[in-house]
Amino acid sequence: MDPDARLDLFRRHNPFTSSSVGDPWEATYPDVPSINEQAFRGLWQLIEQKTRSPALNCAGLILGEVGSGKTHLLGRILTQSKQTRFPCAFAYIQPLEDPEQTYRYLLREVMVNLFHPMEASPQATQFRRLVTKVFLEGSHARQIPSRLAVTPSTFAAIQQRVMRLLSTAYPAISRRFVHVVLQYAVLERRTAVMHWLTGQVLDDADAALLQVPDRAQLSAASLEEEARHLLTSLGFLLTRYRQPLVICFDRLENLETDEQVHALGKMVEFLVDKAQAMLPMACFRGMQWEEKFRHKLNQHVSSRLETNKFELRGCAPEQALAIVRSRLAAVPGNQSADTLFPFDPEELLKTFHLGLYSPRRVITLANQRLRQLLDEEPLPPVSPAQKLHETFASQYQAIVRDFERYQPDRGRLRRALELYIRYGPLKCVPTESGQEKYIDVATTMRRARGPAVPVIFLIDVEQHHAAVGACLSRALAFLEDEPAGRAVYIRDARCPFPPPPTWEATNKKLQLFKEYGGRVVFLDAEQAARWYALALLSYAVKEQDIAVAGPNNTPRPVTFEEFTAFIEQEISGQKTPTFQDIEEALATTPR
Amino acid sequence: MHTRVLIMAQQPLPEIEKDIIRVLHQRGKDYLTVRQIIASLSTRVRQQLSLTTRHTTADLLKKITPLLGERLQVYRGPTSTYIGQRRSPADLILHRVQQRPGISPKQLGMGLPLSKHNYLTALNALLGTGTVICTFKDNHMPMLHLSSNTLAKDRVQASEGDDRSALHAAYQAIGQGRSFVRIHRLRDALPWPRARFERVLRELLADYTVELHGGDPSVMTEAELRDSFSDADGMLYIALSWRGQT
Repeated sequence: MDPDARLDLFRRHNPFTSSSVGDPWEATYPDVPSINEQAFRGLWQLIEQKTRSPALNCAGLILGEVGSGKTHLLGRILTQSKQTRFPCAFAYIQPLEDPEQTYRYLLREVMVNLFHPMEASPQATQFRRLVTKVFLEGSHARQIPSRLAVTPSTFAAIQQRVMRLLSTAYPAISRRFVHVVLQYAVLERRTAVMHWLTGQVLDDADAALLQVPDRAQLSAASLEEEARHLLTSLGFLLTRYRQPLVICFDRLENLETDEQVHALGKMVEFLVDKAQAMLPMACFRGMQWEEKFRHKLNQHVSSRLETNKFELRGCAPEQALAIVRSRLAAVPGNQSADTLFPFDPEELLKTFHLGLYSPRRVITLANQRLRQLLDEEPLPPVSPAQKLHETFASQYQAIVRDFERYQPDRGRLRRALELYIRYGPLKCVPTESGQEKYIDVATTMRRARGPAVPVIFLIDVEQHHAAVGACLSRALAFLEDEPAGRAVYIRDARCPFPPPPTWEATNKKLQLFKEYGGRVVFLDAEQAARWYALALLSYAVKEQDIAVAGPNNTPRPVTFEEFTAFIEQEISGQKTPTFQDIEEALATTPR
Repeated sequence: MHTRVLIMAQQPLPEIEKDIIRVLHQRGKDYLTVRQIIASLSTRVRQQLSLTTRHTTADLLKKITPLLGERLQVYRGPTSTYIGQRRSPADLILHRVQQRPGISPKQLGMGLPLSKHNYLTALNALLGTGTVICTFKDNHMPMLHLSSNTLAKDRVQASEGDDRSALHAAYQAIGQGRSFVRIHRLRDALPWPRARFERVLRELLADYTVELHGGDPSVMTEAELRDSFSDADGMLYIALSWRGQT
């Protein structure tokens, strides 16, 4: 290929336009093993030790500043695991919002990751790999069956054998957990199994199908205890089948309250001390860890984490060149090309010789130089609003593509709503934010020439009629006390609200709520995805993962103020219809 | 074949000294075994010098020793041969005792690239002059420390002449074991004009002794931001990590 044609190739596919990984499950950039090799080797040794000794009490701490490759390193663990004979299981967990649901959140996120497809086939999941091993042992088979489906009679025999084996080996294992896990092999029960294992409240039909008791009757404390028990039982399975689960907590700068930080501490402590075969790894920005988080966590937890601390380091010149080389080679059509074209290697080396650069900085500098070589004008400065708009759109698309991974999450919906309430057109200051059991946001709204009216928002993702009814009762009580007030009941539409005659009493309450002037918003998939995208975007802003060109064309992170301006100008109103149902609900006159 | 030899002969010798110093800085070590050093060199350099794992350590040393330059030397320890920064046995001992006050003489000897005889000779000399002192734990285990005179002398030297050491001392004093220290705090601790501070910082950056980090400027005051550091491109750096030796 002649040089001009190759330059055209890079015009069409500039491999340096993005420097943020975002999510290890979706990592698309080539890896340069020598970068942070020591940290990776240490982490992998820890995983191997955990594979050999699942009861080993240990955790990992990854420290690195913005752009140092924390999330990329997690992606490397995932890739390495897929290539080894004894793969580990992997879970990537974003910050927890609701400390009241610490263990339920942990269980849900762990299971969602285990159900995440590892390859093109949606069936090839980490959970399926584990269940296959259980069946293999239970059926005395020598080969892994190509399809995980069995006849009722063999199923019963396997169930009996597995139950006996596991109960003998691990007397503390939950028999109900094993019972449900095995039913994953029964196709018509699979969805219910997945719901139950992620901690959801099943409807009566599904509960009967799996023969599990009604979770709606359990208190929050009992549900938390149950989640712990399920996680420890999962740990026993992972121990038996030599698949330690690496649980990566990322974007932890978004833990804002002390309660959220303590909840992280509880999770780490539990995973280290109580659950077998689970290895927590926490990723922090170095300075934030040292100045803030390590003092807020229980010393027992911080010392556990610091025992295996891995600091990410900047790239030496050769490593910087390796990044550039690997990105160029990843351009379709350029695989066999000479490796650093169109860069002058000497000149590039001189650029990277001035210090230890973070991988993100290397990519940014390479991008600037490539654009010069391609005779392209420097990129017109992208405004923070435009950058946020693009990132929001791509986050939204990622969620829509993989909606199962973003389970109904009251905390995240609350975060999105709160951002809208505070920084959208209402500009209200919430007086209540998740502290009251059912009310997520309470505020006072003032319309032109009207008196101030109290408003409450109740976000509900419960799936049992009693829990839903209790939430509606709270909303009704508010409207009775505040006849001029407004109440908005919000529900992720994936949590069904069956019409009468099912849920008869609950439907009556809903009807009464409407008659009292309450507004009901069922978030369809599109709208819910936008809410989740906004919450995740706020994490990315806080993590300083979103950058625009600053003075002298050097990148600078988008500020939180620019983010709030984006919410005001773009997210509300018609430009990006995210909260239109809320706007409509508030615009209508109460009874 | 002849052509190939000619091309190789025309290539300049690689800057091994610089490469090895960089590796030592990156790993935070004073010395590494010969094989560790060879393994950490780039493939290009290894090919150019025909260094392979098939060679014995003696062969490797024969090829590499002439290229080590002024700042590096070969150390022959009890079990391995090392390449490291040129230091006297006394300096190696002092540096290690400063890093790990209370270390036992046995532990200290095992961690140094010196023969038993050379090590004990140097240690006894330091004990004799009172540069290093020895105390005993409850279980009679001996512990080595630098004498208060040595420590004070170090501090004076640092403040008088050695800017790099002074910056390192400030980093350790402020960081107290932390790896990410704010640059404005270092400036506060060192009564230097801006130009001097930035010259030292640039020198340390250039030989990969320190690494700079961005961070969250939104939580900092204007004065703190002003006293952070911007590189030639205007990129703002807030914190510093010490990666190598002073």
